Amino acid sequence: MKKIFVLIALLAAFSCDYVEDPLGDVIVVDPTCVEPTFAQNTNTKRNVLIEDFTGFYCNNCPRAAYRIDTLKNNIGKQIIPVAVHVVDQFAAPRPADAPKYQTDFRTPGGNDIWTAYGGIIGLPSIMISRIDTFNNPARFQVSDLTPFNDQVRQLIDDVPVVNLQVKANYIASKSLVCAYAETEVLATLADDHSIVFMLLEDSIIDWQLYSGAGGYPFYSAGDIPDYLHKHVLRRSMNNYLGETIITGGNNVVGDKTITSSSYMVTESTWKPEHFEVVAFVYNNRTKEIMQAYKANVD
Amino acid sequence: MKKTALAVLLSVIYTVSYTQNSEEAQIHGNIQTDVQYYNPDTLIGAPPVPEKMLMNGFANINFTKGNFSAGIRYESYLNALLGFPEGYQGTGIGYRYATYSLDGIEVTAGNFYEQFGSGMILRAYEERGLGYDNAMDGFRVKYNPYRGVYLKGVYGKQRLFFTQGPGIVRGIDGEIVLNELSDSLDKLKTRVVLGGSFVSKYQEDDNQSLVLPENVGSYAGRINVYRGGFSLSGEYVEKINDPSADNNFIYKKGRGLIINSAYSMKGFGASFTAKTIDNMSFRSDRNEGQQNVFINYIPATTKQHTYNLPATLYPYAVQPNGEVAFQGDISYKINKKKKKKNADGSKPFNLRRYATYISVNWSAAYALDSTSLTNDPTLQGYSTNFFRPDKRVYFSDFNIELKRKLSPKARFTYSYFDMRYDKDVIEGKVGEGLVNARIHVLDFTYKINTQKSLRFEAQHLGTNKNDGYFEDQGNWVTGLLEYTISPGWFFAVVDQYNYGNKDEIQRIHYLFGSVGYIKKANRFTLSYGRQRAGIFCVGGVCRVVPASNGISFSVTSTF
Repeated sequence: MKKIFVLIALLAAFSCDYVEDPLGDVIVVDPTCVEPTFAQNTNTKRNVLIEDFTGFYCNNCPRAAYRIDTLKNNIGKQIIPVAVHVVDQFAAPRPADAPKYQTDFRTPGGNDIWTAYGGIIGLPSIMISRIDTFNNPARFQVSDLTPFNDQVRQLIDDVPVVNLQVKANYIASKSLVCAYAETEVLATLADDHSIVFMLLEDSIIDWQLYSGAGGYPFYSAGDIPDYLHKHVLRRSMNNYLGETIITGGNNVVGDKTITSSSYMVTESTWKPEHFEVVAFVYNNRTKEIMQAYKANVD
Repeated sequence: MKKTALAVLLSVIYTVSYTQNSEEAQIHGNIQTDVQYYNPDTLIGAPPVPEKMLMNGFANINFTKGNFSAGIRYESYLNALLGFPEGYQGTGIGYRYATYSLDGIEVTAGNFYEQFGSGMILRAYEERGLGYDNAMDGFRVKYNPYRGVYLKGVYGKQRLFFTQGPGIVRGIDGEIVLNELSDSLDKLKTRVVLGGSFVSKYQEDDNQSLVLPENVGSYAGRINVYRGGFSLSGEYVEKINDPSADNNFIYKKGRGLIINSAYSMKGFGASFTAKTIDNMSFRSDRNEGQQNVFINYIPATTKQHTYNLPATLYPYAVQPNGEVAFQGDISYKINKKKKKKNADGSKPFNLRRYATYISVNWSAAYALDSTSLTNDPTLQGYSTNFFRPDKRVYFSDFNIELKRKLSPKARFTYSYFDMRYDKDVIEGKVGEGLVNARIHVLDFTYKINTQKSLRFEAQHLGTNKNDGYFEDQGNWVTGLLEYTISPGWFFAVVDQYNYGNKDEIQRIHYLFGSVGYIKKANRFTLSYGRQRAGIFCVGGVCRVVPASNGISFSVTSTF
C-alpha cells in the first residue's frame, strides 16, 4: 500500500504544471520603428469592431460578409470589420480541390480569438465589440444576424470612455510594419484595460464557396474564383490579449499612453499596399472592446 | 492502418484459439443499421440533403475464450445521419481491443471504456444515440492485490471520430471495500467503500499568446456508506489550472462536489442529491468544443423523461463551467386492499382494488454565485462562493406521476411537469431567457388479449406567457396510438401539433408513423413522417437534432 501512495505522489508531482504568469514576456517593438507625433484627438464617437468568423469553404459566410459590408457602407468609418478565418473544416486548404481553396488564411492569433471567445456557435458568426451577450459564463459570439443592425446602431451612439488614434507605416527595406497608438482616458475607469494591435490585409482575391443565400448581388452560388476577401486578419501583432495599458482605479481623465507594436513580414504573398492596422482597447474584466481604430499603412 | 489492425487482431484470435483449447471459444456480437431518406421541407426547416439518403451502421464482433477476449466495432457513416456530429464520415474500425485476465490482474490493450468514481474525474463511454464516444486508446490494467482492494490504471489517447485527440490521458484509481478486508468486518451491517483517483493529461502548449500548462492534474476522493435501506455517498474533485476554450482560457482551478443520499423500504423510496460544479470542463484537447474528447463527465441531477414533449423540448444539459444543482425524489406505493363481497354477492366499490404508485420529483440547477475579477493579471476570471447558488435559475423541474391499474386489462399513468428552462444558457441563444412549460401526459394501455394491446398517449404542453417568461414556440399537443401484437409486430402513429405558435405558418402537424417487426434476435423498423427540431439528451449530455422529413429504416440484430 505504501508503494501505491508513493506512486500516486510521484504522478502528482510530475503531472501538474502550475502556471503563475500566464501572459509570459511582453512583446516589444522593433527598434527600427520611429514614434510619430499625434495631433489632439477630437473624436467623440465610439467605433465598433465587428469580428466576422469565416472561412472560404463556409458557403453561408458571404451572406454575413455582405451584411457587414452593407452596414459599413451605411454607417461609415465607425464600423471596423475584421474577417477572422477559422475552423479547419471551413478554412484549411483543400489539396484534393486544387487549384481551388489552397490559400491558408488561418492565423495563430485568429485561432486564439476563436478558441477564447468564439467556438460555441458555428460559422458564420460574429462578435460585436466582444459584448458579452450572456453573463457567467461569458459568451461573445452571435450567429443570428437578424437583430445585428439594431445592436450595432445602439453602440455607435455611446459616449466613448477611451479615445484612440493609430499611425502605421511599412518599412519596405526591412519588410517591417510599425504601429503606434495613442490612448486617452475620457472617463475614470474602474477596471484594467488592454490594447491589441492587429495586422489586416484588405481586398484579397481568392476562392470562396457560396450557397447563394443572403442576396449577395455580385456573386452566384457555387465556387467563386475571384471573391473579394475584405479586411482579412493576418496577424495579432502583440498577441490576442495585448498589453495592459490602463490600471483600474488608478487613472484620471486626460491620461494619455503611447503604445507600439511591430511585425516583420516574411510571407511573400502578402501585399503591403493592402495592409491595415486595427488597434482596440478592451476591458480586461468584461472583455468588451471600448474603442477601436483602423489606420491604413503608409 | 485499419487493415493492419484488423489483421493483427484476427491473428491474435487465431493464435489464442489454438493455444488455449481447454475452454470453448465463442464469437458473439450485434449489428445495427439506420438508413434515412430525406425530403427537403422548408416549412419545418428540414434542409435538402445532397445524398438524399444517409446511413449509420455499426457491427460489434467479440471473441471470448477463457480469460481472453478481443473484439472490434466496425462503423460506417455514409454519410452520417443529420444531427450526428459532422466529424463522423466514412467507414472504419472505431473500436478494437484485446483483454486478458489472470491471477487478479486484467490487462486491456487497445480501446476501452472506463469510469473512476462518479465520473467527475474520468469517464470514457459511448452513447450511440448522441454520437458520443470518447473511448480511450492505449492500455488499462486492473489489479486486485488484496481482498477488498481494487486498483486501476489507464494510459492512452481519446477517440475523436476516426482519429484521436492530441492529448495523452494518464490515470490511477484505487478503491477499498472496508468490509471485504477481513471476515469480522464483513459481518458488519454497515458497509463502507473508500476511493481515490488521480488523472493527468498532457497536451503541448500550442498558444503563442499564453503560457499554457502542458500537464494538467486532477484528483478526487470519495466515500460510500450503506446500511440497510439507507445509503450515503459523496465525491469531491479538484483540477489545477486548465485554461481552455470552454472556460475562456482562465487559470482558475476547478472544483466539484456531489452528495447522494437515499432511503428505501418496501413501498417507499426517497433520495436527495446535491451537487456543485465550478470550472470542471476537462478535455484532452483544450481547444475542442461540442462533446469531443471530454475526459470527465458531470453527473446529471435531473430526471430523464421518456414522454416526447417533456423529454425533447426542454431537457437540461449539464453546465460543466459552473452550476449548483439539487434533486429530490420520493416514490410511494399505496397497497391494494381487498373488501368483502356485499351480502347479495356483488362486489363492493373499492378504490384500492389495485395498488397505486405515486412518485414526486424535483430538481433545479442554478448559476454559481460568482463575481468577475476587476484586476486579474493571473487570469483567474472570477471568484466564487463554493456551493452557494446564484439567483439565476438555469433549469427547474417539478413532476409528479400517478400510475394505476383500472381493471385486469386496463392501466393508466398520469404525469404532470412544471419546468423552467433558460434557453440562453442551455441552447446558446441570445436574449430569449427563461421558458416556463407546464405539461400534462396521460398514458392509457388496454390489453385486448394475451397477445394484443393498445396504448394511447395524450400530451399537452403550455408555455407561460406572463411573469416575464419567454413564450418560445407556444403550446403543443401530442397524440400517440400504438398497437402491439406480441411478440412480433408493433404499429404506431404520433402527431405533434404546435397549435400555439405565434407565427401561424409554424402551426404545423408533425405526423409520424412507424411499423416494427421483431423476430428472435432481429428487429426491423420502418418509419415515415416529419420530425421536428429538438434536443436529445442522455444523462445531461445533449445534442441538437435538426428537423427532418422522410423515410427511415432500421435493422438491429444480435448473434
